[in-house]
Amino acid sequence: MTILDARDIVKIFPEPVPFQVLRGISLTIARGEFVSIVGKSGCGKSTLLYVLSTLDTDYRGTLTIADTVVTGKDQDFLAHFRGEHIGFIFQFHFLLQEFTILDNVLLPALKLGKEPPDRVRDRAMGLLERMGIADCAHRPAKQLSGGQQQRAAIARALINQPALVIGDEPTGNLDSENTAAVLDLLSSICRDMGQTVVIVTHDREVAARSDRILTMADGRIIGQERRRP
Amino acid sequence: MVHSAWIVYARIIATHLRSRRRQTILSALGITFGISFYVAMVSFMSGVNEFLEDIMLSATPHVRLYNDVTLDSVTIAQRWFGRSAMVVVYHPKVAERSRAIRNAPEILATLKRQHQEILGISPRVTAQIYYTQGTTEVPGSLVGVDLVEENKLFALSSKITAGSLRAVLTTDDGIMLGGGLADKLNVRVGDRLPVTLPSGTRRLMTVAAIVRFGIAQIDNAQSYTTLKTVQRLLGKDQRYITDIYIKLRDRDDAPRLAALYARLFGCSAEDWQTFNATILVSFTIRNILTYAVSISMLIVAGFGIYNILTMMILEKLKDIAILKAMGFGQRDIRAIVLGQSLALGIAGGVAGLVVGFLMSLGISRVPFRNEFLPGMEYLPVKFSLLYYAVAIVFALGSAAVAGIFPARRAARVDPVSILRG
Ligand SMILES: Nc1ncnc2c1ncn2[C@@H]1O[C@H](COP(=O)(O)OP(=O)(O)OP(=O)(O)O)[C@@H](O)[C@H]1O
Ligand SMILES: [Mg+2]
Repeated sequence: MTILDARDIVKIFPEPVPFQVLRGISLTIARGEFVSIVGKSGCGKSTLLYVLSTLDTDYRGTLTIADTVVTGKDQDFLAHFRGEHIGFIFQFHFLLQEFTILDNVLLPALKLGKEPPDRVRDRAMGLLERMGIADCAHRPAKQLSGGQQQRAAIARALINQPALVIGDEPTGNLDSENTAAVLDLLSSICRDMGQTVVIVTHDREVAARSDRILTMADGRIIGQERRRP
Repeated sequence: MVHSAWIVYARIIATHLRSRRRQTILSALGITFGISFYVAMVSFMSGVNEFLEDIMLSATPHVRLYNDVTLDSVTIAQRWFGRSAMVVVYHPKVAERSRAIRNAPEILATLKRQHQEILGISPRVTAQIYYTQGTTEVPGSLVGVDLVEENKLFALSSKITAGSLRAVLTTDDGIMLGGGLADKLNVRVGDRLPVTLPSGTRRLMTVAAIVRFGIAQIDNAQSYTTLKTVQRLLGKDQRYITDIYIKLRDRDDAPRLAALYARLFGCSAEDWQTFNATILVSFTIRNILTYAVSISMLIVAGFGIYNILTMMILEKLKDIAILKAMGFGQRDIRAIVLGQSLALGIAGGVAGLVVGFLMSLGISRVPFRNEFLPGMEYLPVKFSLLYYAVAIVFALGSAAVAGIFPARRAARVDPVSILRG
């Protein structure tokens, strides 16, 4: 079963000189798959993730997620769609600095409003526990270290149990112990919950834990390595 | 799930405003300033207007019936020759027509019997006279009234500064002299005062009381006595009534009822709004002034809110981008920024109501006495919930207007360009 299908995605930055970052990317990802994308710096990985996460709507081609053609949909639809189906972990772990860690994790769930607040609260605390930052739950984000913030951002991406989790170097700031914990969590949600994970990474070892590795160069996917069926 | 969305908005609004406490308080204070000024000014101005209106109505009726003596020869001729004819009347003159209302006693009886909307009726006879003191002659009028009835309608006895109503009733040819006249003629209660009619008739009156309404035109020219005294002075019988003063239960009904009475009784009728038109215009101008100043202050306050919101948005661009990535749509972002604006408006507005109320209270405690304004001890202030309701609507309105553009701007923020860093 397919969760994500991208057809001939082309992205051009018009400024300062017209520059084609994505040169016709097509890819299909199945439900429950754990996919990693690797490639040289500047080859367009982040750009591709912004398109796949529906945040960037300025591209050519067709994007289908969870059987919905999201290409051409309006902003309010996409925002709600993201809240429901997509969890995003940014390259530079962005938290709301004035809010507590717990509030950062809770906001997407409270916004979606599908479950009673105490249920999402329990789940949020569980995620923070697994990320090893439960004791920081009530401290404002700005008081936390980069690694702690990144782990909170991962918990936030997972709070709504999205069908598709997209991460841009989610372990970039973490030591090997925390990296292992994050990878355990991500693989377990693929295996047990049928959620799909797509991450960009520079780390070969991280990529080695995924089901499939896509290699990008110059705005194209130039190869893939399937590690598990 | 609209409900839970607003709880989330409220949390974001509160956290963002708290992180900029000083500016938040300052911009809310702008609204407080405008609103409290509005409340205090409008309460004070309305107090003054109402006070003056009360004075005005203390001496004038809501509706006055009289017999208009005008040159209507053209209309009579027109009636005779028909509308299409051109009628020119050379040298028209007023015929010797009585100023008395035709069938006044019958009209009085009908009004008393059939008209529930009327609070009180007072028939009058007015005579133009000269007050003579030595060689000076002061023109004025002498009004014959049913003193008991008139006292009920206009609280005459409360405006008597010397002598008494009783004395006027019991003294032969006793009059109640206007305060300004008494000053001009330099007479006191008990003095004798000769008056002269245009016809030449002279009579010696006795000053039995002095009355002050606080209205110069009346106090400087008018005196009161009984109906019978004036009727006798003019050589007329008891049916001779020149004016009927009517007080209504609802004074705002006056224009409609005046028209009705004119039609029913075939006389002229004037409502208080018409014969006090100039004073009412001055009320309107005072009100316009109050609103103009208040609204300008609210516009300034609105700019304060606009500024802080614009600043906050620039500072929180990252937060807006994150919220968008997490599932907040343009609509949500707009609601959050507008909510921040309204929160400032409500906080500043409610504080403004309290401060405005205290200011009004303060004004109403300022002693103010003036011999021309009997009955005033403190500055007049009108306390009305309506002003407070209008004020809070103003506060919210200016906050909403100030928030619209920042809200739209925030909603249009492109998350990708910000999250790229
Ligand atoms: N707003 C922009 N306007 C013009 N060019 C841009 C813009 N954003 C990115 N680029 C260019 O697009 C290319 C791809 O950028 P992108 O961030 O996708 O690379 P990346 O593969 O994620 O690199 P990294 O591994 O360093 O994060 C880069 O050459 C970058 O300079
Ligand atoms: Mg990148």
